[in-house]
Parts: sequence; structure tokens; C-alpha cells
Amino acid sequence: MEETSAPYPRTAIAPAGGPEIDRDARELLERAMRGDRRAWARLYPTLFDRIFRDVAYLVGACPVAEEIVQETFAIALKSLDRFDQRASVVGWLGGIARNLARRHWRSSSRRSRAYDRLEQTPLAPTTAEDPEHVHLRERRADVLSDVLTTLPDHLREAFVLCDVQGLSAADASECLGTTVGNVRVRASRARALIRGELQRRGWIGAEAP
Amino acid sequence: MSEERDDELAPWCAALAARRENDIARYAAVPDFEDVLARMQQPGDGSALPESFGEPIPGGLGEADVVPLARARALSSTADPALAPFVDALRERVEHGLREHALAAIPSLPAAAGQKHLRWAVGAILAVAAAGVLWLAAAPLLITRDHERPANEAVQSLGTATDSPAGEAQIVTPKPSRPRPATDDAAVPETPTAPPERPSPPTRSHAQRSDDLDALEREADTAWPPATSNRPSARCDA
Repeated sequence: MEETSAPYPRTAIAPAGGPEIDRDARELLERAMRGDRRAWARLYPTLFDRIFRDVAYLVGACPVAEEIVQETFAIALKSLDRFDQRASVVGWLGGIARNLARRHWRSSSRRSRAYDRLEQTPLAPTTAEDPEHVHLRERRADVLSDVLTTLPDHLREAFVLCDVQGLSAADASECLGTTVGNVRVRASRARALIRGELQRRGWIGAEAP
Repeated sequence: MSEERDDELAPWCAALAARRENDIARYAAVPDFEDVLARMQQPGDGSALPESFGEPIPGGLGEADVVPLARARALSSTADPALAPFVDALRERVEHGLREHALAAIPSLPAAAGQKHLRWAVGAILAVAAAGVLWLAAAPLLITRDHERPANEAVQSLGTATDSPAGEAQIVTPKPSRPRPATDDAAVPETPTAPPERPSPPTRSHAQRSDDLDALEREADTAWPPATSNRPSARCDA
């Protein structure tokens, strides 16, 4: 497996984000809390992509992620007074989004439908890629998506944040609102479960480390 | 990046991350602030919004910041000039189907009671007319068969007579059929039969009838005395 050495995706941004982004977001949020709707309208598109990306990684289907993000901002708009000014704006919004995503995951029917839709959008191969590798990657994405549906919410979130999105344990812990050690334990348990499921399905060997 | 990694799971995670990035790039979600405001207005958990949030969006907000999703998708669907005609044709067909469906869903007005009665009357008249036409068309055939029946019976009786053990030809005259009312279009020759003569009542002259009336009046006068007369003429005079 030559893909073993492939780098982890670095597209994910830490939920706390860059300090400058969160500083701008905090300023806009403070203006919004004073009643400046233009500030909120500007904050919304600024943070939309980031929240959408996180939720899309978590739930798998972009239409569902979009719904969740819209609902996230609506809930945040309703509960502006509950925002702890010491906390991160992105972390606050991310927490609302994850709660909504958990609610979505609890519905097994919606979960399966979301991944069915996901499987209908194959990866676009580039000309430089070997078709066999593209096919193998497709199959792996399908299988891992399917296996993720079998995990409990807290394990799946930790695994997605740490292993799929590539966040550090510290960032993931801030994102999930728990300790770094707890995130590591969750991610480790998730890996063990995923490994066992892949072995059971014959995708990896039992003698794997 | 987190400190702990599972190298064996790494390609799986990389494949899933590539899938996610591909999906996100393809979906191209666009923020829709109007949708957020609409969701915010829906009843839910306690809202602590500033009062100004309930007011309409100021016009100077700028559409560059907020693009409704529907509009963004419409724009993106026709971004490819080669696909635009197909997209437009498909959209037109779908909208046409939706309009047809909406029109078909409109319930028709219930028919008035008078119209129902009128329909029944017209139906009954047509049924009677159809029955009359059928009867007129079938009448000549029935008449023809009735007239052929005695001859057939005669022929059959002749045949049975020749086959009889006595060997005598028994000529059986057909019974006269019951007289039938003649119809205008019945082409059956019938001998006109004179109606039987009835005894005409005795004719009496006008003078003779008046004499009878006078005699009756005289009888009445003698039967009822004038003082206590109860005859009709007296009551009329009184």
C-alpha cells in the first residue's frame, strides 16, 4: 500500500481558527449583540465555509450539512445573549453545529440516505492518477463511510476530527468541548472499532499492528 | 495534527477526506442569510434577539455579501453555456408539468340540481325515442313472420300427412290468423272487409221530440201542484 505514507489532509482548520479570524469574528459578534444586524450579516458568510466544511465532514452529505449550518446560524442568532465572551466564536458555532449533527446522526434513516447520496458523487480522477488507485480510493471511501455509521457519536466525532480532518488533539478537544486526553481516548477507541470492522469485512489483515 | 496516528488506517482516512473535499467543492454551498432569518423567525427555544433583528434587511447590505441559495443555484446551473439550453428546456418542461398538475388538482364545480334534472329528462326522452325507433323498425319483420307462419304450418302438416301410416293426404287448411291492425308501412295485402252493419237507431224529427218534451212537462205539472211544487222549474222561478 503505497498510499500509507500519504499525508493527512491539511484542509481542515482548527475550530478556534487563526487568531485573527476569531478576533474579527468576535468583533462582529459583539456588534451584532448590540443590535447591529449588518455585523451579523457579515459574520455569517465569513464563517459559513468553515462551519459547513466541518459539518460536511461529520455528516457526509453536503445538502444535510447545509441544512445544519443554516440552522446553526439561526439558533446562534436566537441565543446571542448566551454567548460566553471568553469563548471562541467559531467554537461556539461549531458546538451548536455538532449538536445538530448528532441529532441528525441519531436518525438512522437519514443517516443512510445521507451516505447514499454521498456515494452518488464519485471522485473526479485527474489525468495523472492511476485508474486503479482512483478505484481503490473510491472503495475505501465508501467502506469507511459505511463503517463510520456503526460508531457511537462521540467516537465518530473524535475520529473524524483527528484522523479524517487532521486536527490536533488539542484543537479537537476545544472543538468538542472536552479534554485532550478524552479526545485521545475516544479517537483510539474509534480506531480499534474501525480496524476490527475492516478486518471483519476482509479489507485489512488480522495481523496488522 | 494529532500526535497519534494509525498508519494502516491512514489511506482510508485520506480516501475519505478526498471524498469529502470533492463533495464540498462540487456542492459549492453559498450562504443564504435570508434563509437564516426565516429560520430564526420560526418558533423555537427562547430567543433573546435585539429588536432591530426583526426589521427588514436594509437595502444597502449588498448582495455580494448574501446571495440566496436558490438564486445562486440558478446562476450556477446555467454557468456552462453548452448546457444552458438543455437546462432551460428541462426546467421549462418541469414547470409546465407542475402547472398542469396544479390545474388538474383544482376540483370541478358541482353540477346544479336543475342541470341534473335536465340531464335525466333528456336521457329519458332519448330512451323513449330510441325504443320507438326500434319498435317501428321491428314491426314489419314481425308482421311478415306472422303471415308466413300459417303457410309453414300447412306445409308441415302436408308433410306429416304423406308420411302418415294411413297414406292419406290430409289437407289442413290454415287457421285464419287473428286480424291485426293495419300499419301504414306494412306491405301486406289484405282484403278489405266491410264492417258489419249495425242497427241504426230510429230517427225522430224535431217536432216529434218537442212533443215528447211537452208531454213530459205536462206530466210533471200534474204530479206536483203549483203551491208546493218542488219541481226544478218552480225553484228556478222563485
